[in-house]
Amino acid sequence: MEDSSFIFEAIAGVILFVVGVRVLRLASRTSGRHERLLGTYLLLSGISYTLYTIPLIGNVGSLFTPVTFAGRVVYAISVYFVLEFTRSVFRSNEAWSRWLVYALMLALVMGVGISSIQGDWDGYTVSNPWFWCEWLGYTLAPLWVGVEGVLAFRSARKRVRLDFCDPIVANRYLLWGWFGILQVCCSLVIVPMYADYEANRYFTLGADALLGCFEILAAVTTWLAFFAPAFYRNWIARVAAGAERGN
Amino acid sequence: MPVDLFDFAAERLEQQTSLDRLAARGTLRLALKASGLAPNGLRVAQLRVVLEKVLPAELEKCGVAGAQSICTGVSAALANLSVAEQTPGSTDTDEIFRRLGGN
Repeated sequence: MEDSSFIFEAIAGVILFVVGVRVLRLASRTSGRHERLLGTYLLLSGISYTLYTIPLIGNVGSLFTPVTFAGRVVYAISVYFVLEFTRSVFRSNEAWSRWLVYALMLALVMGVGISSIQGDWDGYTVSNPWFWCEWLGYTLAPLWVGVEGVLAFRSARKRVRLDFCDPIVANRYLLWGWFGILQVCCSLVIVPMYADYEANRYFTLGADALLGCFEILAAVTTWLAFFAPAFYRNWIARVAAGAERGN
Repeated sequence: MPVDLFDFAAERLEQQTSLDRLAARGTLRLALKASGLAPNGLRVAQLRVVLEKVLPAELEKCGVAGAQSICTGVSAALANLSVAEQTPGSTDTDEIFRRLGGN
């Protein structure tokens, strides 16, 4: 990785970690399963981002591959929690959703496992077919998150008009959907980036900076969704009140 | 015996309008969709609002005369109704997302 663009990823990791800790603290108060699932996902994602960044911040030499591999495994585990969160919140009554969770986790486990056995511990070898198996696992998961978030927002917006739903909750759906879409963007950016790395053994600055921007935007989205500051809440309430007056 | 709210309201509509069973259920479904609600997990308070604010317009689109008074009648019939146990609906998802914000 060139220059210091990896710092974006480190910042995103810290934000996800902090939001994850905050949601887990909420889970300890409410004993809610959904809070636990979401908090664990965000926390593990934050840890994974940090693990990916550590070898790039300091010269860790022979530890580069083990630390990167650890980041990869932790991320794969985190995906289970976001899949189960999405299934249990949005599709708990539908049998296909459970099969989707199993299929995507199987793709991830096989992708990480088999490519590692074949010697690709970093997971940067796009010429390996098992890379794509893993890629599908960690790309379709946030795609599902994005689709459910946006669909839930569209329906919640109608409920807001009839006073069935709090505007801040409707906005939380939208932010969660955006988070999923931004994560998909990250997955798309890493393809040419990893291809470059496979060929030249370094990450190009442009792709790396773009990835970092998407990661920070996604992390900030979770912060606004689950840790919204007062000014943001007030703004959403004002916008909703304005829309109500307009109707 | 507990009844399903959607079935109850659709049957009342069928009885009080010229709509057949399919049309009555379809019109009610459209009204619920326009309100961001699903037949599963529907609550009495929500159905009352839909009957008051959304369904009359949907019925008028189908050429039903006196839509407002029909809806008022269905709404009045909801009183003293023993409602079947609810399956999780869209508003339960709202409750989860409300909690996730710490509020």
